[in-house]
Amino acid sequence: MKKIIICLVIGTSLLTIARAEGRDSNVVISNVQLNYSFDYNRHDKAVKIKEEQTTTYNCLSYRTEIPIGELYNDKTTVDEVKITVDGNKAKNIIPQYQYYSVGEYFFTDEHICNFLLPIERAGSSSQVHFEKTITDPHYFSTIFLSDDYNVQNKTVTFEVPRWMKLEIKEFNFAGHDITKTTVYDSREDADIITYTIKNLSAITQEGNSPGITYTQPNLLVHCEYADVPDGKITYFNTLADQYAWYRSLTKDLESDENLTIIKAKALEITAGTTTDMDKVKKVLDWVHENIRYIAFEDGIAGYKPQKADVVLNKKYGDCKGMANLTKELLKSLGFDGRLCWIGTDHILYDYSTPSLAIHNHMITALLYQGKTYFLDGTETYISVNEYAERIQGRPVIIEDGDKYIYATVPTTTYQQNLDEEKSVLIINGTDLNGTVTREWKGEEKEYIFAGLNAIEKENTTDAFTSFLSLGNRDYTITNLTNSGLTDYDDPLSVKYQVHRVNAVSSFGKDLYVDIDSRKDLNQTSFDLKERVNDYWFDYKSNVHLQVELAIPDGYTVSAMPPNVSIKNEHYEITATISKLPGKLIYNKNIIIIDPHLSKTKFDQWNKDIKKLEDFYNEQIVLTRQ
Amino acid sequence: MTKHLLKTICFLLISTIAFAQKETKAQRKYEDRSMEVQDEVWNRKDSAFDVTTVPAKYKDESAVIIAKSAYKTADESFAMNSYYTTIRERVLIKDKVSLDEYSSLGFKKGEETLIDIYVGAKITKPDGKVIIVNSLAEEVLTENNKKQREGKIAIPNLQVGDIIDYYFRYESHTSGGKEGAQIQGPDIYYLADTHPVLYYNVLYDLDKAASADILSINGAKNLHASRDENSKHLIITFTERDLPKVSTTLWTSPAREIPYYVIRYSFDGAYGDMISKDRTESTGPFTDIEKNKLKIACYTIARTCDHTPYINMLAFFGGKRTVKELPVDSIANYFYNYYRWAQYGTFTDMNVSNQRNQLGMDAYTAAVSFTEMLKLCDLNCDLVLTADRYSNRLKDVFSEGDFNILVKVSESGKLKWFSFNDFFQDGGQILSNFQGENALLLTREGGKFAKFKDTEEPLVLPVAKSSENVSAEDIKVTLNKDNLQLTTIDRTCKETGAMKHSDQQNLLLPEDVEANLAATIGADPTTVVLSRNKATRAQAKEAQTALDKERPKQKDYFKQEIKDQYDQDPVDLISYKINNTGLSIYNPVFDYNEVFTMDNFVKKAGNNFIFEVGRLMGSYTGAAKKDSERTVDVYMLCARTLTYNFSVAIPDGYTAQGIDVLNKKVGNDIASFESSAKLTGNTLTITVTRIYNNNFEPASNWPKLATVMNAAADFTAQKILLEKK
Repeated sequence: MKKIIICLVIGTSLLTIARAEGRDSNVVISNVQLNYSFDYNRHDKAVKIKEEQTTTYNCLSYRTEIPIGELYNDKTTVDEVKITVDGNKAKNIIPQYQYYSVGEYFFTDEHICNFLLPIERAGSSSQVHFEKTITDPHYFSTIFLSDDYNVQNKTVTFEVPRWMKLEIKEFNFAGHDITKTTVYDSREDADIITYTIKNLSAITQEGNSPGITYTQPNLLVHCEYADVPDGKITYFNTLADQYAWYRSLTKDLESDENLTIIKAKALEITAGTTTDMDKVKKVLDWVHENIRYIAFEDGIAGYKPQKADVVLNKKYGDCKGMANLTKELLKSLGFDGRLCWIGTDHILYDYSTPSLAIHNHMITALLYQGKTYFLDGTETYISVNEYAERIQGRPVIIEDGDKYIYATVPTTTYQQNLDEEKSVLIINGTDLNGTVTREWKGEEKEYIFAGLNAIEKENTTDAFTSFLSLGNRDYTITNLTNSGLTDYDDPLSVKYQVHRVNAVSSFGKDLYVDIDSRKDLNQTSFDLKERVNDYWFDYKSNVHLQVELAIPDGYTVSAMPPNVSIKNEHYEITATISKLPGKLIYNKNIIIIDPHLSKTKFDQWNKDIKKLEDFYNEQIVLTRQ
Repeated sequence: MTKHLLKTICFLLISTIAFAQKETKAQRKYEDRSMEVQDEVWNRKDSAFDVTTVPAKYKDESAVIIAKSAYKTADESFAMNSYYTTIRERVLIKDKVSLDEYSSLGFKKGEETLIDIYVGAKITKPDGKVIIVNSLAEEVLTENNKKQREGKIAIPNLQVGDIIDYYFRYESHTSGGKEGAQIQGPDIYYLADTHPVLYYNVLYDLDKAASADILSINGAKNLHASRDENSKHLIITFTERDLPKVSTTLWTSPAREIPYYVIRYSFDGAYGDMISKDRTESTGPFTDIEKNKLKIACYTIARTCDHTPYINMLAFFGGKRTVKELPVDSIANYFYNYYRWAQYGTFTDMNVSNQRNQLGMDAYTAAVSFTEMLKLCDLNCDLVLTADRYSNRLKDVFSEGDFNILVKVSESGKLKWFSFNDFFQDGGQILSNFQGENALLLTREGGKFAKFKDTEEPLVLPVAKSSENVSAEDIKVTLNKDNLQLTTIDRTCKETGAMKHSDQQNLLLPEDVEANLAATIGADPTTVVLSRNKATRAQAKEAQTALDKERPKQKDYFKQEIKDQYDQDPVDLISYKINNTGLSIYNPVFDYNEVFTMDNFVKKAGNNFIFEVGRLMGSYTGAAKKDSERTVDVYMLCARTLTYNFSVAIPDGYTAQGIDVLNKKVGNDIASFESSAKLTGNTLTITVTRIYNNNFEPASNWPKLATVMNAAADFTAQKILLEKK
């Protein structure tokens, strides 16, 4: 299911190198020749795609060794590797063929052919030639044009026989020197499509960047069908074809025997609940709490969910297994649960090009009383009807027998993700004492729960206290109570007493108060010279902080920071202090409306953050009369 | 042709079938053996592995190890020697963290070890139901060929509240009898774990031909081997109950705190590193025996020692006659620098980043060669064997590798020490990790053929005083005229002893390190030497290109240092400079300067400003509250003195208020903190001194230490008011 994620993860590992080499690399790729050709094998009755890639690496300054890796798996073979160093065949370099451990995956079928390539001196070059075969056109999808190093010249050629119908979609070509030509080869009855790329920068890795399909020029190959002597072979000509392929993998997942076990478990989980939605919540909560996320990515099995009873028995599964179990548990209770295929926001592609690259995730849809609820088994600490940013607004196909339903996951507003703190404080000498309440909802709540559950039980309280006190040894938190650390459906709330030692500075007749100890978004300006990619926040934010500060008897407010009010279509930042009889009310709202901040907005963001920092860097002055 | 092709195809087909059959047979054999092992392990009687509850005092633990065991057997026979090890653990899972920890088991069989590995697991549910995991069905293999079998098992049906009982069985075989005998171990058994342990049993049931070396360390009960009356097997066993969880806290040396056993065994014939021979057992101490083995290694190095440094030294100082007049210091320092320079290496490998500074030296080769050179100069010196404070004690040496080496040079009754662990240790000083440790001397005797005489009674290596490990910061602060909230910090740091070590490694460019080390022995930098020869001129150019490319990155080294110090990025790093590398014994202070701007130190307050002057000392959190009842001893890097001289230019039109609170003095017999401030004209001068008298404190002294640490942390929160006139 998550093949594309593998590409992305691998992309990330390449990015690590890119970061090390950077835009001022000692190595440059002077030329890449990448050729794809199609062959119909009458014996296998299958179309196979031959990939030949020759890459020339040039040394700019001083000799080095660079890691070279080429991935293969159940659907791709590495047939030949040729290495030349400074024009000579490198007989002493023996490629290693190894299992490739990919990110979050417990097990995958990914393997890597790798070796260290020497580039012997400034001005010299080394060349690597790979020949690979993609044994099933279903799996032929994305081709990234950029590389770990700056690329001077690259040619990507597709020799497409007229019997092979495919479409090539181009992404992120703007601003790059990329040209395309198509020539008909009458002898081969094939179209020769050639992309010529010049001067492409190395990939740059940065935190909170959009997925690589958004940032790098790439081609999405859409294999529609092949008209071959033995008949027509249809791949993903339409989305219906793709669904049919998925359907062929999922339609045999149910059996009466399994349903008995599933139903028994579903009844056990929902025992004592009366309303339908409570039952749904119970089921999803049970999956979240009891099914560990362990991902397998093994050939066709990478797209085929485990049977529900298997996941139930093993108590672990990946997104597919969790989705299928959730569906079956719901169905056994009489609900209309369906499997869904979805691409998270990591993927640029929409459904206009059916391809395995458009999906990297599976969830469950609940069709209930005319409304569709999307349930994500992998989002452990999120409630029914709350949606993680990564799936919000994403197109989804919902199973519907031999057809499918096209839908979109609802986009929630920032209001889903609340982080609200209210403090009532009094000044005691140079300390601040008071009561604090805080509440989290949506992805803010998920963030807290995920953090707490990643800490050993015996350290949870210390860690939570440390989080609330910002790790400041001068903040003492007592009488900490919470709404429950095991119920993930309801908002999480805490209440505690705080004693902040030396939070107030006293000089002469004046008291100086730093009203905001949290200082959200402090020092979050972008380095305009360094940052290459847009910045994507993890999710939309809705942060409120209110501090009610009692003015000590005999004191008046003689100075306060000026209010901050920034509002635009992407975010709102307000910080205000109001004077009321005997007290001050500080309100801060930080709302990230659109979590995708483009580079063009960085300058404005920096100016706005400067205003907020100026606010943070100004104190309230209380003067004794 | 066709016939030949047919034959070839037939041959290939037959080979493939045969190979497949062989594979299947091997797999079947593995599976059969796996089931045998499973039966054996699960049926082994040990009631501790039947326990299903844990004491209430562990209710808040992440996991509790109900029982763990190591069971080893070794059999010698004419045909084949067999070594079997079974490691088993039974764990109550009490939260999601431990669920993740125990949710998968990984295993690897490497070609070099020729070990077969069998894995098994079973789960006990809270209602008592036991589920045996079919490990063969559950395993996924990431490598599976004749050379390597590697894979992992995701444990099915495991949940919080369950008990997982799992084992690994390692089986290795060698050819039979004495010829095939191999030394097994050393095996280390710590009497503590990451979770509390209710029961821990280790049993070695070894063939009658076995001998064993056993060491009991850090207060572990004395462990002895015995002989079974009937079989004459060598039996080593211990059982411990209620073992604590390892505490993780600041400044500890677990190797000195946790009791543990070390065991090694073998059969007749494979003695090598074994101390016990001929079916005996030895329970230590082994220090002297291992020391004697080390003498042979030292002899070998001495025999093959290159005399080039001696010749270079004579040339450097102007001949033998001059050298005879030189103080010992000069000669010893020359050789010390020579070996540092030689091992630091040239840049022909293009490793030019400051990661090179983290490399270690070959201490044995350098130390023995160093003594050989001194001997050629008729100077008295000894090799010194000691232990690392963060590893075993000298008396607990089990193998040669447990020693550390340095050199003592005697000069008119004064001792000089030379440690060869890395490139940034001062000549004449003992590496901080060795200070205060017991040590033995190996005195080089003999002429051309070295002999080493040793001392029986250990001496104690001196500990550097706090005045020898100094970090002195001189910080000049000005507030930007147009923006008083932007501070310019001109910071000069001078560091000595152990306090300079990591900063040298992080801030110095390898090009400068190599050039400085070369200069101490009168050599030219690599690139200069290479450029003299036509054959290597291109290499020199290439290396210089790489070095030039690295040089601008020093700015990033400094930026990182500032971030580490203040827990905040500088707004701008205006300038940075290494004033002195501190690599020469004659000029040992590491001295650097950086000028940078910072925001967030000054807060506006009406017409006035609050200056958080305490932050100039850097980020410092003090003693953690969770350590208030510390029970483990305190192993600090070194005794040390940290001084800070802040000079703050009070901006025109403002006066400084509240400087009295900056005067503070806290101290006791082990540490002190003192800060004082005075205003002279428009300049506020603040002086801070923090001293830790010792590199070690018993746990009982922690409150005293914490008092001083917290006083320093309090200082970092201090502020003054810049009041508008």
